[in-house]
Amino acid sequence: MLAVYKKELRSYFTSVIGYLFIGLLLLILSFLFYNINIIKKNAFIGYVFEHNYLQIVLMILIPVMTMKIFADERHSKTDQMLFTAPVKIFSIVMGKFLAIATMFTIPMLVFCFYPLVLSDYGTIPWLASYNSIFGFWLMGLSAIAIGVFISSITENQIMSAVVTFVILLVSFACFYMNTSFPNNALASVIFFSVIAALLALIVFAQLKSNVKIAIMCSGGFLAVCVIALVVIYFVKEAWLVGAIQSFLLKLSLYQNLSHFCVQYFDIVAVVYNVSIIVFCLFLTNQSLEKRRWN
Amino acid sequence: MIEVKNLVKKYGDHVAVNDLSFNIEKGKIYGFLGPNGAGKSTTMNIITGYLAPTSGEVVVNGHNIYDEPEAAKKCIGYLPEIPPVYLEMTPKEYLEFSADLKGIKRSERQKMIDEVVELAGIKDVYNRLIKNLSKGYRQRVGVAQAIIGYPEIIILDEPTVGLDPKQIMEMRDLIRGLAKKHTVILSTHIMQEVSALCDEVLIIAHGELIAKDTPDNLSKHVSGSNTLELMVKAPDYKVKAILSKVSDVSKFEVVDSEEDGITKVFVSSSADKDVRENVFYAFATAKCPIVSMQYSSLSLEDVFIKVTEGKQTDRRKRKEAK
Repeated sequence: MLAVYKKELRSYFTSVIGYLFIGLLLLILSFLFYNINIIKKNAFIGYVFEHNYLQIVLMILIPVMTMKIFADERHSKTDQMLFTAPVKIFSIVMGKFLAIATMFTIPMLVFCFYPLVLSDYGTIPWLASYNSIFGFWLMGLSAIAIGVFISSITENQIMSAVVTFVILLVSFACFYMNTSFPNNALASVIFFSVIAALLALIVFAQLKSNVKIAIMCSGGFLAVCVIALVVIYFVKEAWLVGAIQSFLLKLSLYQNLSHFCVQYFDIVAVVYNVSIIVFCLFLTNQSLEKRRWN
Repeated sequence: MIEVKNLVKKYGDHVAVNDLSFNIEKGKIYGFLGPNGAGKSTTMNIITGYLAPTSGEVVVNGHNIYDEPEAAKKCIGYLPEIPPVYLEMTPKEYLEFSADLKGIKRSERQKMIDEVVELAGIKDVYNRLIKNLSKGYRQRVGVAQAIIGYPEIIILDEPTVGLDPKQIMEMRDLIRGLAKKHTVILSTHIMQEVSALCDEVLIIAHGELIAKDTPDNLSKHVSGSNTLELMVKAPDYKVKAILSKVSDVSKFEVVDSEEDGITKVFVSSSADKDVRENVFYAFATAKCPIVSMQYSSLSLEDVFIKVTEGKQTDRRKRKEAK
């Protein structure tokens, strides 16, 4: 694990990309800090993380950092060296994830000094400030884990970056656009039916080598979902009111960050982020493992 | 040392390796011989644990590659078809990384890297970026990576492809040197390479093992019957008349020649008979000068086409019989 970790870290620092990542992240953080905390005289540093600029910059920077992590190894066939070496696949995954995580932690550690700058001008909510930094750090790690997973399923770096970007964008959009969906029960039934249909389509695509089984599985899945939705609609309509909104918010990484940014420590959000990280790394391991069997 | 049992690898409907079984013993150089797409690389990738077989098993030094992958992989150094080098590293950084990855102790690391660099002959380029190295040097860096840590088995997939003749000679010397301490498995589609290097040869075509033998026995297997290629300064009817009287000639075939007044003819005889002398005297008494005479060499690809076509018709017949 350590060998891979060191190699990845070095590769970020021998190319311009590592410096660019740290530099840009610190630049936007400093800019927002200056605007929000210095000019507008806010004592709480958490407002910086709520700003859309930061989210958008992060949405672009993280895919750039993660895109090559497995895709490039596969493309240049260097994965043959990694996966024939006497190390577990999961320790390779961990080494790579931790390397990017370190790259992200460096600017965050630097940012930890920023609240100190404000301390001369009044009372600072220390705990809340560092709590929000912690929340943002966790969210960043989740985004990185997603990027690592996406990189492991393709051998095209650009593809990997674009897909990761789209996922982060959708996650971002879920947070800001959930109110534009209607919140009545009928809308929920239609919305979730469409999602079930999309899932059924994915199931079909995965099993299409055997058309009969594929149609049975995906069709059965879709039918069960739609029937369940209709039954809930007639029996317990209240469950479906506002369901779209809460569903979309659950998908959003930023919803959990916003909890940290309103000055309290949210254990649910911590569990949410840690689960995403663990789940994505597990999926990465599985996708690399599965590739051997294809 | 390595036991391969009933190995099968399917890519969808395509069968890349079909029921392959063999044993590799200690201290020899083994050659995997086969045309492109025969399943050599796939087999090597399975032995090294990069790919998983559809069915069958590989046991390396008593460790099953599926149950104890780390222990099995520790015994093997692998150079894949395309050297797995990181272009933005120098050989120094690359070998340090490779040593770390294989879990070589820090105290032994530098000494081992120095030895390996010496062996692979990459001292001159030690501190240059791999990006700027030629194909030959990249190949050597890949070899250095495979032998670092001195695993008992070294597997090289087409180690001489893309090298110039001098580099090929050097690579062969390197492999011969390695074989003193290690068991070496290499793959190739070049016949001479096998006879120059290997103690034992495994011929693979269409994912199946066709023959496993020493190169000497194999060349007999490959040639089958002797075929002489003759160029005679005489019209073809005269050549036919002369040849039909020569004893031990089992078959001959006259083909068109590019030169005027010269007839080209292929003369076959059974494998244990040498008919060159008889043919020479026959033409000499008829006062027809032989311009050239040589054993026509069947290229390996030709042999393979023959062998594999034979196999396929066999299979078709078996199917029809069912």
